[in-house]
Amino acid sequence: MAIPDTLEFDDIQGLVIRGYGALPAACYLLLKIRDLRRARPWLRELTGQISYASHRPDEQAVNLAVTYHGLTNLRIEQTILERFSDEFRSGMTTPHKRRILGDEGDNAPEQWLWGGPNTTQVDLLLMCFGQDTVTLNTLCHQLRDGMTDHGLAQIARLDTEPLPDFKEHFGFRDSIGQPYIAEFDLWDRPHPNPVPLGEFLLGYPNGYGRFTQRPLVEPGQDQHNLLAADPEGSDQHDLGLNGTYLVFRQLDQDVPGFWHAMKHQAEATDHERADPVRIAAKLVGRWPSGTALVQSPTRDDPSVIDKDDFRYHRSDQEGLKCPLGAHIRRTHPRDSLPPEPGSEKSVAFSNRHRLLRRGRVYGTPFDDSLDPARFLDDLDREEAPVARGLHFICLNGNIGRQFEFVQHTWANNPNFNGLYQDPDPLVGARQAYGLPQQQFTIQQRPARCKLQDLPAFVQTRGGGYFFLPSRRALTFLFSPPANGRRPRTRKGATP
Amino acid sequence: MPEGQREFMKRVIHGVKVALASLHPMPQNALTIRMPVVASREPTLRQVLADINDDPPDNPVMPFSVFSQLHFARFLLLDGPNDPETYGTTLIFMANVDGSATQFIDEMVQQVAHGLDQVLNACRGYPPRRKRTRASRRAYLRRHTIDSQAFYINTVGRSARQIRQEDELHQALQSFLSDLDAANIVTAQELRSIIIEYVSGNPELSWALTSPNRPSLIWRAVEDLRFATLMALGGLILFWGWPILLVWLLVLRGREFSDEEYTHRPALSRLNQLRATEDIAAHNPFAAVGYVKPGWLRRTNARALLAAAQATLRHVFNKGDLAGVPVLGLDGVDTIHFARWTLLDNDRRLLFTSNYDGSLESYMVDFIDKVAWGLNLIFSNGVGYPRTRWLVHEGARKEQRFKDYLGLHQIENQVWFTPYPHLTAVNIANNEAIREGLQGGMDEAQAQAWLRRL
Repeated sequence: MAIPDTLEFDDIQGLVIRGYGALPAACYLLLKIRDLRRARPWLRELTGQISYASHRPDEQAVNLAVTYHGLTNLRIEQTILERFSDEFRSGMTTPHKRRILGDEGDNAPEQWLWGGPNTTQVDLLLMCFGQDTVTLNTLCHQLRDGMTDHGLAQIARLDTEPLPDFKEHFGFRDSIGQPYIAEFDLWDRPHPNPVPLGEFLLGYPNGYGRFTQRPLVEPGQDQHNLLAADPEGSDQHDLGLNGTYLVFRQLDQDVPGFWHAMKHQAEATDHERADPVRIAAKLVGRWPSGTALVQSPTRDDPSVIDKDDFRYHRSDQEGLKCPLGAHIRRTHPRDSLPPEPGSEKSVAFSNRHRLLRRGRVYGTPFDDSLDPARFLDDLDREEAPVARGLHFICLNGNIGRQFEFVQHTWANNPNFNGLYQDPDPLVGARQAYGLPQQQFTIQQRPARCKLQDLPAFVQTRGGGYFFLPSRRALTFLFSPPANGRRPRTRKGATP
Repeated sequence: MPEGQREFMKRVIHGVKVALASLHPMPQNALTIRMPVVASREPTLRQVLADINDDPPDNPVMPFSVFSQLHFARFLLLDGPNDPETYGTTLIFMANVDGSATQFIDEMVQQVAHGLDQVLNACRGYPPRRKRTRASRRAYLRRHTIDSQAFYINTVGRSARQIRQEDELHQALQSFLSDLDAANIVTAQELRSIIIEYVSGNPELSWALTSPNRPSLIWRAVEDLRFATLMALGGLILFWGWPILLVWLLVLRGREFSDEEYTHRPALSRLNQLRATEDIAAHNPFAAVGYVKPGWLRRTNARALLAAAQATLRHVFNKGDLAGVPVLGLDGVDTIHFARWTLLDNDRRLLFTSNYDGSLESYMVDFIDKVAWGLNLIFSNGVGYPRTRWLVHEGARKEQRFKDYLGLHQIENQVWFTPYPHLTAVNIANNEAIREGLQGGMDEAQAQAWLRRL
């Protein structure tokens, strides 16, 4: 089951291997297919404009993903639709998914800006990137003019806001603990724990050394041989190969609420060393500079160069440096969980639940400095709440074992790691099993300090599961059916 | 053997087992009652069960919270196997109880007789209205009680009452610690003695300063003797029977090449229907039923492996870590409260039920990552199970095939009751360790380690 020496980078969408850091302007266009007959040729032409991984763009880039609803609107055959993963087909808003993802109460899909039951169903997601706002806007206008002439409609445009130093709105450096994928590393740097390619790209061995469930089509369904052969060796053609699943969540962040709570907790804990930034760092597991608490337990040390170079078990088994329930310790536990904490086995376990994050920040910052100290100077400066947050986007080959597992078993689970009522302090749901879950435990000696009544700091405002196809798959999906007209499948039919 | 005789033999064997168990009772037991449902009354039965499941602890029909010795309980409706020897739909009641199963039946007949009538009215052979007495109800339930071939108890001897009490203790200590002005407390020993003082000064908690009821020395001695006897028996079988076992193994290895492996996926609508009732507590109930591969060889194999599993579960994996054998590099699972394997329909079907922490996804991940070998040994006797190699390899390690296989066999629980919905098995064990740490002397390091539990 060897991976071919060279990946077909020109078949893989660019977003898989790069976050387009050099293109700071970005927006996401949510589209609906109005008239398939007219949309198809335009979309097919668009596949030529998409940015693939073989080329590093320095002006602009476009990537394209499609929802399950979009596939049905493209009138893909039912037998093919059924080959996609269960999570992708069910979507994000079934009663069970709401429960495990924490999308209840204020987070309920009924109140979402997009992707919920009360808004237009999204078919396609166009992700546009530009070196500056002018380039981006030109690109978007051009795309928009083209699409409206061709049977497509824009449901919404989600803008982003580049913040300096990879900061997110609470004032912490983000995008640090990304999975390392050896095949994407042009310099072939040695890395102790590469994550198998199949965890992020369909058609390659995953963390179990096997192929993840993916859509395969019968040769008769692909008469023009648009797709590649099944790498697993069957006579089927692989619609999934070089594609992956994309999870999108629009997460509003309540910045003044967060820092108010930190200030309040610092006063309540009545500890000489307790200051709001310190407590916030305990919640996150990192200091505002991004340096991990395990690397520098008592104060922020921005000089640490590799902020991803640490493990938990040997240096902080008890959580005295980084609390056992801190955000980064639960969304990426490294070597801290069973089996055999501290071992390679534990790291391999953790690596079967990784996410390749590709999101961007939106909304104006609370303070341009993004410095928590400045935030705290005047927390009441805004008269009305300002919409800001994170367009969380992640890529994974198995939504159930990766995104949903991380969100439910690790982030939302109040009993994570032997705790009792502690959800992820940043993103975890504040209610589970009909009980409030609002605690956070800071391990220390002689006894822990427990923060009580933590409100929610993040609110889900939209979301969806997407398929990010390969170049070949895009061509296949946008081509007219091979056998002439097929019976029209029921619109919006979800099994 | 004619059906009647076989049934009679089963009742005799069951009676002998009950008699033996009463001489040396296990502290926790599995009760399984399987009753045939009158087809015309099934819709009403489903409605009654749905009403119970609206509020399992406190519903008016069968309020499970009245049973202090009850851990988990559930009702399942099981379709009959579709082949000539027709069994119709059956209703299965399962409970994990402290004390004997027959005691629990008596308790049910005493406490929820009316509720039993409402449910079992739909069951064939249940005493008609005018003949319903405690004795007739009890006799019916006992007559329909069936044995499980293997039963896993997370921690033998830990009662439901103890779990609830220690939960209260944990919560009380948490509030105490949160309200405590700890500024002047420097050492762990000092803090520990303040906590002990608080507990002993609080009449509602002072029970915590005694050890939980543990099985007696004699009981444990008999248990050890039983284990030693079984080990010796196993040794003898290996010593004298190894050529047969070897041939057996090779024949099974041969079958592994030809046995059918399911390659289809469960319908998404079915999966979503199953998921609809999951993840409403810190733990979930799992239930799945499947056919045992036909033929004498596979059935005997399943019986033998379940017997071996039962001995191992009872005597080795009885302290919260299922199938963990550090010297062999085998990792255990600490998220399962109870599990049982029950052969049905003359060994043609196997019903597996368990109560586990977290979501089904994380449960399956535990299976695949940690105890695939153990699952393979037993479930590879099931029709369509992902192909194994040498009985323990592959099988469940084939992630997608295994998940699909579970999805194809999982069934719904019409009713499920948990008395401690917010606690995981790890929480429960931690609470017990907190209670135990209130007694005896500790040095500074020990006291510090104990305080970490709070």
